[in-house]
Amino acid sequence: MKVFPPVQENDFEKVSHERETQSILRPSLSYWQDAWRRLKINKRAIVSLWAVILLMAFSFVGPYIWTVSPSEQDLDLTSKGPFLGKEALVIADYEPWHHESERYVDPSLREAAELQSPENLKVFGVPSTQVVRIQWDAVLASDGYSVYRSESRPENINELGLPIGETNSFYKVSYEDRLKLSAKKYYYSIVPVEGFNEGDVFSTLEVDVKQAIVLTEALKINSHIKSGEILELKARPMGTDYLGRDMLSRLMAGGRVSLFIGLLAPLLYVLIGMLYGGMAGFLGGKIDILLMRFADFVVGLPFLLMMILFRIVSGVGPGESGIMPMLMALVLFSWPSTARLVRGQVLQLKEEAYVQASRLLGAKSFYLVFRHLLPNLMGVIIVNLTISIPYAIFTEAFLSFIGMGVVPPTPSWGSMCNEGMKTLLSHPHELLFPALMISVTTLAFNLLGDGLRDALDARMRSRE
Amino acid sequence: MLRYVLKRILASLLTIFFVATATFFVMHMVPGDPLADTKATTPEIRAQLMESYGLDKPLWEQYKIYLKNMAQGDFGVSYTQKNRSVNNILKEHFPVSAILGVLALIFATLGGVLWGALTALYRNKWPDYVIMFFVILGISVPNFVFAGLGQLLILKVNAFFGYEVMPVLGWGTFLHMLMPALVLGLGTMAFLSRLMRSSMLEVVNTEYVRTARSKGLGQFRIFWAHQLRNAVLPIVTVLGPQIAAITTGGFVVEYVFGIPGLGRSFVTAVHQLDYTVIMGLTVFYSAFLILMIMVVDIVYGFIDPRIRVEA
Repeated sequence: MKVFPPVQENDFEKVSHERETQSILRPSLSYWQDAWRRLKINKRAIVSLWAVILLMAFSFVGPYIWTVSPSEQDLDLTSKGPFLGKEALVIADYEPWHHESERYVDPSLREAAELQSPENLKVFGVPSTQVVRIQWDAVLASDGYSVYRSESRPENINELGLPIGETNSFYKVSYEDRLKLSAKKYYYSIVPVEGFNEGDVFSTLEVDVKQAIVLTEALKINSHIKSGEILELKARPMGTDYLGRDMLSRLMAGGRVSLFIGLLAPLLYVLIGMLYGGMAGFLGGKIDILLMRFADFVVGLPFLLMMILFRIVSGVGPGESGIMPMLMALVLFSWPSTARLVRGQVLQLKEEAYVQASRLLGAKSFYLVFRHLLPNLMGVIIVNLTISIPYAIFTEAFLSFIGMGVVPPTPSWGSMCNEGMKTLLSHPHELLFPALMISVTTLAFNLLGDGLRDALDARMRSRE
Repeated sequence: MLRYVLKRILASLLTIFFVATATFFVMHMVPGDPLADTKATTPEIRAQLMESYGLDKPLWEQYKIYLKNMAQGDFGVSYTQKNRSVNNILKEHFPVSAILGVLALIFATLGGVLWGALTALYRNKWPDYVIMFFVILGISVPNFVFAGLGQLLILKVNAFFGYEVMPVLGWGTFLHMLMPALVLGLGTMAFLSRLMRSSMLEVVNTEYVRTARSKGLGQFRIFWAHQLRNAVLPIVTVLGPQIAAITTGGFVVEYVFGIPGLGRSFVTAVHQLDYTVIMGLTVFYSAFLILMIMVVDIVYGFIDPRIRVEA
């Protein structure tokens, strides 16, 4: 059993009267510091903030790093998926070519012969994506030949693939293929034709096609290149579109248009809405009723129809690029929601005790607005601005998609989606990338808006 | 209540009148000539055409005739499609859009209420996270992307089964409508889910729910009769604007899926600068949307007695 020593007088310490009982332990934070602290612990919001910064850098700084022209067409490389550096053989410019059998055959001999599969199939020159030239020995009984192309080795007569051409004489024993060639293996089959009937025999030749570029085109890229040399083609990290334009640089250029509208339009109409709503709320009375009735009327207008109508009125026909009319229409028809919000806030703030007190102390309207109302409105307005951005980007994309916004050749993410839609079934990457950009942008701004709302909303603060 | 309804009807009619007027004057300010194409070859033909379309009268007269015709439900005659009246276009194409829209709205509301309620019940558990992930996706992805993906999906499914399970394009049977309606409803569904979640969260722990639980009511009955019913109210308020969103969203879905609806007619008319059709369809659409919002407001007044008191 433990025995405690008796309590002595010097076990205690006398509390001095000077001890600070009112000291503030934590540093005092301003509203914005506090908001920033709250935003920083919100992981989703911070990730979104970085995404937004990266997107801006992608669109506005990117073109200085990736200097491929967004409007340069390359019809040799249409609708290609993403690829990094490719090499191409430089070949001489195209010249017509044909090859005929020089062997004279007595017609009576041909009458008697049976159809046989052509022999001695071979490639003339270098098979390239520009042209593949094949020739073969004449078949005695034939009156012409059909040429087929396939991407897999044909096992029987039903698997010959695409009929790409035919010749109409016994002597014409060559064919030149220039039809959308890619750098891969092809199987060319020749079927002799007797009269009008194709024979049931064929010969197949395997051809390994090389990526090639004609000299004239190659000289545009590198002025010292000679025929037969290898030219490094620029990489297309996001592939090319249906006209062979570089998707990456188009996405950057499109991003500039989309973000320009998506950022500037909300900035303008939130500003207008703020002034309008603030005025209505602050002045109150009859002016308030009148102003808000008008706002209600604008809200009642079917927004997208009016935007389309506005575009027609501004004299921008379909098929013309109308960035400015679209911007103006967005501003003209979107401000009332902000105006309503700000008016409600101002009406509330006006009755707050500190505003009343300030007024009682003789503060003028100007002072009240800039010292008390605006700083307290800022949070709501910033949140409103952030969630307006995805809405504006969506609207731009929608209008461009139905051909009523930005139209070719100016790229925007919406119009690129429109173009990508046409090749969706064969080359989905042309829709996928711009769609992804729109989605990531709207997602980032939405989540950032949510985070800002949590961080800036004063009512949330008391709950912590 | 009657006063409230009358007030709403009057306000709506006034808005429709303003829209019609604005559309008329705005369309007459458009630079360009509706008869500029090949039709008016000689001055005589031109004069006759002007007369038959009423373009020779002063603007004020034209406006009066236009208003009179509108009031009688006559939306005019197309400039580019010979002898085709806007009413004819409406009669042919509006039912298609309406069926599509109603189906999409059903999808959106049922889905939105269900998913939203589920996320609130399983707050901060995995069903909440999974559903909210898709909801945020649904809000962030434009509907034309969904339309494209939907088509791709049908194609893959058809290829997998080796026969046409579902048509990729066109209109006619119920199977044609399924995918477009789903795509059209997705955005609204995501929006409603989010709204339903927050409204359900407010209801989940109210006094009356606790009372119901302490009475020994089953979980399902509490969910159905006490929580869902009260949480669903805010959904009704936003249905009006959402109907508008679905209608305009229809433009895209009809375009992608090749559906002969009114949205496609509108887009075509805009591309061809068919003034009367644009005017007629704008006024028709506006009137339709304004009336829809009005109906929703009135219905809400019946459901929620608090609204009537405020009005």
